[in-house]
This record gives sequence, C-alpha cells and structure tokens, in this order.
Amino acid sequence: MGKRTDVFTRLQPMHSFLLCFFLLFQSSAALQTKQVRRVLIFYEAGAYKPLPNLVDEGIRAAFDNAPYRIEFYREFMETAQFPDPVDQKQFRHFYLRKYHNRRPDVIIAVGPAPLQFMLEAHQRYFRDVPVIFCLPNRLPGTLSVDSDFTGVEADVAPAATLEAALRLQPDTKHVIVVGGTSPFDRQQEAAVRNQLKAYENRFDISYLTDLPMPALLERIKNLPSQSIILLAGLGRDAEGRVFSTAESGPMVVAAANAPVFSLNDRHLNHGEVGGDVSDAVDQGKMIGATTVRILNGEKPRNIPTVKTANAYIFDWRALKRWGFKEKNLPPGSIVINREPTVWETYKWYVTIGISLILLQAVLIAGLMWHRAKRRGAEGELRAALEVARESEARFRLVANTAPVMIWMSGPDKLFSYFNQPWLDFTGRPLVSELGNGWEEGVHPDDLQLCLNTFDQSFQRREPFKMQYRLRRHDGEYRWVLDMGVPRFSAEGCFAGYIGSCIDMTERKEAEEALSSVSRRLIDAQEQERTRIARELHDDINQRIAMLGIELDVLQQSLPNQGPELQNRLDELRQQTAEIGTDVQGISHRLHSSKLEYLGLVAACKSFCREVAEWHRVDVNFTAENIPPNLTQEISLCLFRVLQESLNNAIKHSGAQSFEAQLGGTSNEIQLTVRDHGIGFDAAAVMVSRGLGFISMRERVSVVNGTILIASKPMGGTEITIRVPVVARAASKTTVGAA
Amino acid sequence: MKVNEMGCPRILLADDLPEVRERVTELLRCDFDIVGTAQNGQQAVEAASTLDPDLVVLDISMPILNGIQVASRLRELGCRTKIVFTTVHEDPDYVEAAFSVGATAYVFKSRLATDLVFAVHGALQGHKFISVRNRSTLREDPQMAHLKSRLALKRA
Repeated sequence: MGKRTDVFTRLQPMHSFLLCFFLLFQSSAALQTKQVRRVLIFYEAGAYKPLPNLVDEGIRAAFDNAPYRIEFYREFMETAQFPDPVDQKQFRHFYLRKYHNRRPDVIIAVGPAPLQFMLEAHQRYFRDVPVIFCLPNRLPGTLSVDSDFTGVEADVAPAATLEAALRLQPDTKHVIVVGGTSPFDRQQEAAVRNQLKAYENRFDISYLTDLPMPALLERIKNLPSQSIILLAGLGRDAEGRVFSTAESGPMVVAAANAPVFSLNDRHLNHGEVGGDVSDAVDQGKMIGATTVRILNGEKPRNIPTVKTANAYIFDWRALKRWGFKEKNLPPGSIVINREPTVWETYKWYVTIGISLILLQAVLIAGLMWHRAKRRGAEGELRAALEVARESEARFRLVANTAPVMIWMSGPDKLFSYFNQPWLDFTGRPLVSELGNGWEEGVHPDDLQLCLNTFDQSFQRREPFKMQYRLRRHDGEYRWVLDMGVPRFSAEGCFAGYIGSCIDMTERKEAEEALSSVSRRLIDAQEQERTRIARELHDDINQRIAMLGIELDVLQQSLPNQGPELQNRLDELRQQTAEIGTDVQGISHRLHSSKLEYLGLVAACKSFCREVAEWHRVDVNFTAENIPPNLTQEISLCLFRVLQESLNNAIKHSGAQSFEAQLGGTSNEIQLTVRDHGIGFDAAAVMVSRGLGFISMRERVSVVNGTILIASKPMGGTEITIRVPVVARAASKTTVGAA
Repeated sequence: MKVNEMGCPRILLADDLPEVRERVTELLRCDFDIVGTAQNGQQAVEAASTLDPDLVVLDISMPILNGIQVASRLRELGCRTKIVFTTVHEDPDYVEAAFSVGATAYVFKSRLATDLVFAVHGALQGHKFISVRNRSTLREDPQMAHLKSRLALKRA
C-alpha cells in the first residue's frame, strides 16, 4: 500500500504536465473548432529521461500542421525504476481503466515494454486502435504484431561504432561493453552481443553489464591501454539503482581511463566520444508523420515499418581529449560541441580587426601618399620660395645700390619698404619710415599737396609725379621728384605702389636760375625795345612831325616864290612825312604802343589784322569779356604769346586760316591760338623751335599762367594760355582802353 | 559856349613836347584864348577840371596818362569839354579809339599847320574832323574810309 502511494505521488507531476499540454493545444484549437483526435503515448522511460522529450519533440513537430485538435496523453511505464512485475501489472491495470471510456485514436508505444504491453492488451482493450511502436533497435524476430501495428525501428550499431573507433584508435585491442540491467538495457545488450560476435576473434571483448555502479566504475578506472568502452543502455545497475543517461554517461566517462564510445544518442554531451547512433528526434518526427497518416485514415497495415537512419555523431571535446584526429572520422560524421577555433571564435573580431588594419593601412598609405605629394609640393614651394627669395634679394641689391630713393606701399596705402638710399637720405631707421612715418620728413607746406596727389592717384590706380621738399639727415629740406606707379600682382590684383625719388634741388635751383636769367633777359629785351620804340616815336617821330610842320609853315610864309621852290618844299614835306611814317612803323614793330594806349583787345585785333595783311592769310580774332583794367604785365604777356604763336603758326603750319580767341572769366583770361595745319610733334618742336616756346613759357610763368600746347602731326595745333587775373583796382598804370 | 571877355573860345593845350606846345600856341593864339598848357596827362586832367576850357587840344603820347586815358577820365569826371587830338599816330585804330572816348577832331601832327585851326573851329561848332594822310597819292586806307563814313565826316 505504501508503494502504491509512492506511485501516485510520482505520477502527480505527470498530470500537471499533461494539463499544460491540454491547455497549450486547446488554446490554439478552441479557436478553430477542429475535430478532436486523442493520441496516447506510452513511454518506457520516465518523464525525466531525455528520450521521451526527444521523441515528443519530433512528434509535435509532425503535428504542427495537423487539421485536428490533438489531445495528448502521455504515460510513463518507468520499467527501470519500477522493475517489479507487480508494480508494472498495477500500472497496466490503471492505464486500462483510465482509457476505458476515453478511447484513443492512436496509441504510440515507445520502447520494448510499452510494445509488449500493447501486444498483450491490444486485442482485448484497444481493439482496432492503431498502434505505432518505436524501438531503439530492430523488432526482435520473436515478436509478431497484427495488422493494427506499424512502427519506427532504430538499430543499435555497435559494429559500426567499433569500426569508427578503430579509425580513430587503430591499435585497439580491448573492447569493453558497459551496460545495465533494465529490460531495455538487456534488450540492447543482446543486440550488441549479437553484432559483435564477428569481432570476437580480433579483439578482447568483455561485457560489464552485471555490476553495481561502484564496482563498474572501479573496473573501468584501470583498463589496459589500447582499450575502448562501448556504452550501451545503463538505466539500472545490478543493485537496482536507476540512472538516466544524463547520470550514467558522465559517471562512466569520469571513471574510465579509455575513450567511451556511445551506442545511443542520449549518451552524448557528457564526455562520450560518440559513435553510430540513432537520432531520437528523428524517430519522433517519423512517428509523428506516421500518426498523421493514420489520423488521416490510412490503415496501419498499409504503412510499412520504417527504420530510422543512424548517424555518426562525435563530440569534438572528447576527440580532442583523446587526441583523435577529426580527419580520421567516417565520412559524413557530425561533430558536435566543436569549440570554435580561434578563427571561429574571433572571426568577427579578426575580420573587423583586419578590416581596421586594412583601413588603417589604406589611410596610412593615403597619408604617406599625401605627405609625399605635399613634400613634392613643398619642394616645389621651396623652389618657388627660393626663386622668390633670390628675386627678392636681387631686387633689394638693385634697389639698395640704385642712385635713387625707392619706396613701396601696400594696397592699404601704408608704406612697406624703403631702400637704403632713402634711409641714408633721411637718416632715419626703417621702422620710423614705415606705415605713414615717412610723412614726418615732408615739408609741412608740401605735405597736403603731396598726400592729395598720392590719394587721388591711389584711388584711380594711376601713375603720379610730384615734387616736394623732404628733410635730409642734416635737417635741410631738399626738393625731391617722386614718381610712383601702381603695382599689380601676376593675377592682375592691385598690390600697391612703387615709387622712386631723386634729389632735384640742384636741378630746381638751376632751373630757377635759368628761369630767372631768361626772365631778366626777356624783361631787358622788352625794356630795351620799349625804350627804343619810345625814343623813335616820342622823340624822333615828334621831331620829324615838327620838321614837317616847319616845312608847312615855311611854305606858307613864302607865298610869292616860284613854283619850283613850292614843288621842292612839297617834296621835302612829303619825304619828311614818309620818314615819320616809317619810323612810326619801326617803333610799332619794336613795341606796340597800341597795347599801352589802346589796350589788349585793340592791340591784338590790330596785330591780327596786320599779320593777316602782311602774309595774305585769314586770321579770325574774337574777344569776349576781357576786363579793361588788366595789368601791363598780363597784357604784354598775352600779346607777346599771341604774336609768337600766330607767327609760328603762319610760318610752320602751312594753313591759310587761323583763329585767335581771347576769353575772360571772373578769375582768368584764356588765349587760344588754333590752326588746322600739319601740326607737329610737340616734344620735338620744343627742341628745334625751342627759343620761341621757352620764351612763351617764361612769359606765362611770370604771370603764374599755364600754357598748353596740343598738336599732333596732321592734326593741327592748338596753344592755350590761361592767366589768372587778380582782382585789382584801376591805377594810373592801368591801360584804359575801350 | 563859354568865351572870354574878348569873345574868344578858351583852349587848353596838352603836349609833352615844348616845341609842339610852342607851335600849336602860335597857330591858335590869333583866334583862341590859350587858357593853360599841360606837359603830361595828369596835368591835363587837373587843368581841364580846374579851368573848364571850351576845348582841349590833346596829344596821345604823354607821360603818366596818355591822351586816350585823359579823355576817358574827363568823361568819367563829367567834363563835356570838346577834345581835339593832335598826334603822330595816323593808324585808324587810334582814330577809332579817340572817337570812342569822345573826341570831336583828330589831327595828324604832320598836318598840324594846315588842319588844326580848321579842326578846332569846326569842333567848337560840333563838326567832326580827321586829317588826311600825307600820302594822298595812295589809295585811302579802307579802314579809315569806313571810319569816316561811320562818323559822317566831310573831308577837310
């Protein structure tokens, strides 16, 4: 009774397991209202053993797409734990009662004991219910099944496993078969013995199948060398201790000093080497497929019993432990638990690492290339810089040895360079001159004009030329002629100015002296002409006039003389008058008294008329807005320039008509003499006809005027004089002409 | 016309040359009262202002102020006295200038003996006069002819 209680207690977890199954399948099937099919499975092993779960896995996989709602019922006969025939008989009674009113559609019997149960009970209790058996080895020939039975066989393959072991350990001499005492163990042992008969002559084959576990383990600790162990079913030892494959496998492997080869796929993963084993999951799948066929209406008799294929499965760790070469395994072997090689473990790391290294290498190569290129460029740059330096040095050498002062400014108007002659001249250090420092040396009276000229030219980017006084190192202001030109870079960008200066004080003094001399010369000449003209006119001419009067008077006072004397007196008087006229003409040409007596306009007009008559050309003279109170100096200047330029024009231009214009504004008088003749090269003429032009220039400069000579070959000539008029009260010396 | 107690017109004589002054005085003193003489332009202006003569016989070429300037100044001063120029300048430009500043007669010095008395008499009557050049054989200067026609002169 106590035993029975124990049985039911053990069965309780099974019930909860089944419940889970129901719930699992119901949850999906309830929704579909499929037909219900009951599947009853009898397992020989306990629910805790690996085999039922493996088979379940396969069966469930086959039912995944079944059109039914499957109700699973699993029973575990546990022959290893409950070997007592009385216990087993009570289990069977319980099953029969349990399923008496709950008739299954299919019964699956996994293991020899469930198959035996079905063979005995089928006809009576489960008549016409198809039975699918599942055996780890071939159906023993002693058993006969009726037409409701079909099944899946497997086969224990000790011979194939032994052959595989020999490939790995060719010098094997001793083969020890380890097994247990449960019905399943015995059945398997029998199959092994049967198959190994053929090897008994070649090897020393011994069977350790009737030992208590401790003794067994002790025995296998000290096996002779060149031994192997074939591990068969070991569900129970000689003393009735029950073991699952998960327990027995590790114990055997741990104790044995020889490699342990497996005959069942449950004996793997605990250090066993492996062997030619059946695959429980594969069996489960085949059972599942068969079950589906039967549920679909096929008759078991039409479904032949099938045998699952075995497979060579080896544990990589055990192979390593025993030094077996993987290449010696039978072809098609499956190696499990292979520890990934360094390559496999670190494949990604290595790949990523190598990729990174490659990337780095590429980058480094790129950088090297770039550096090489840059070095090349740097080399070119260095060469260019060298050329530039050389050019710069050459420039400085030239600049510093040139007999002129040279400066440079940037586009910001700030001065950035002065050559040595400049610094020698001013006696100041470069740093004092840079920027705007140079302005300090410019004479205060000239600075503004100087800056204006510079600024204006700078804005227009035009060359300029200017004169100003610059303080020499000894404190003396010297006149310098400064000529600046804009600088442009190779790209055409404005880069500032460069300029050169020469000390022109001496030249300027000489010019001034010359100017002074020529001015005095002109003055003297003018004075002398005036004096002679006056002498002639005011004295000689008057006297001649008086002589004429005397002759008239004499003629009148001698009324009674003969006609000869009268005629003679007439002639004398005539001659006297002619002399007077001639002298007056000479006087006029020397110095036009008209200018003095009649003013500028009358004098000019008269001169134009005279010269036109004399040379038989047209001279068109016009005058507008000429103030009456011009100074003698200005009038004389304008008159002389008119004389000189008109005479020149008539003499050289080849033209027949000329224009002379006098025009006045509030602050200046302008004289223009124009012809449309052959023109001339102004610069060349300045030399050949120099004196006249110089004389004109001098006269104009005396009255602070300007003279502009515009002429080009075949383009005519135009001479323009501008003279500023200073507002001036009329004085006694003023020429008052209409 | 203001005249002196003898009924003779009052004349101011301005010339820088003593010989000319002397000769002119001889020519005019029969018919006119020479109320004063001036040796330069400045004196002429002052004397004319002071003496207020009926007529001024005025040389052009004089120191300080020339005859044209004197005539111009006198007109500026409001003096309406008649002016007869006596000068060696026979150029039409001078003649034109002289008439433009208010001259009534223009006598060439070379024609002084023959023209002056006639010109002064005429001037006092308001008649304009210009001497004819001695070279009468030559064609008269067109500028002068034009001038004369403009001034509506009769030939002396």
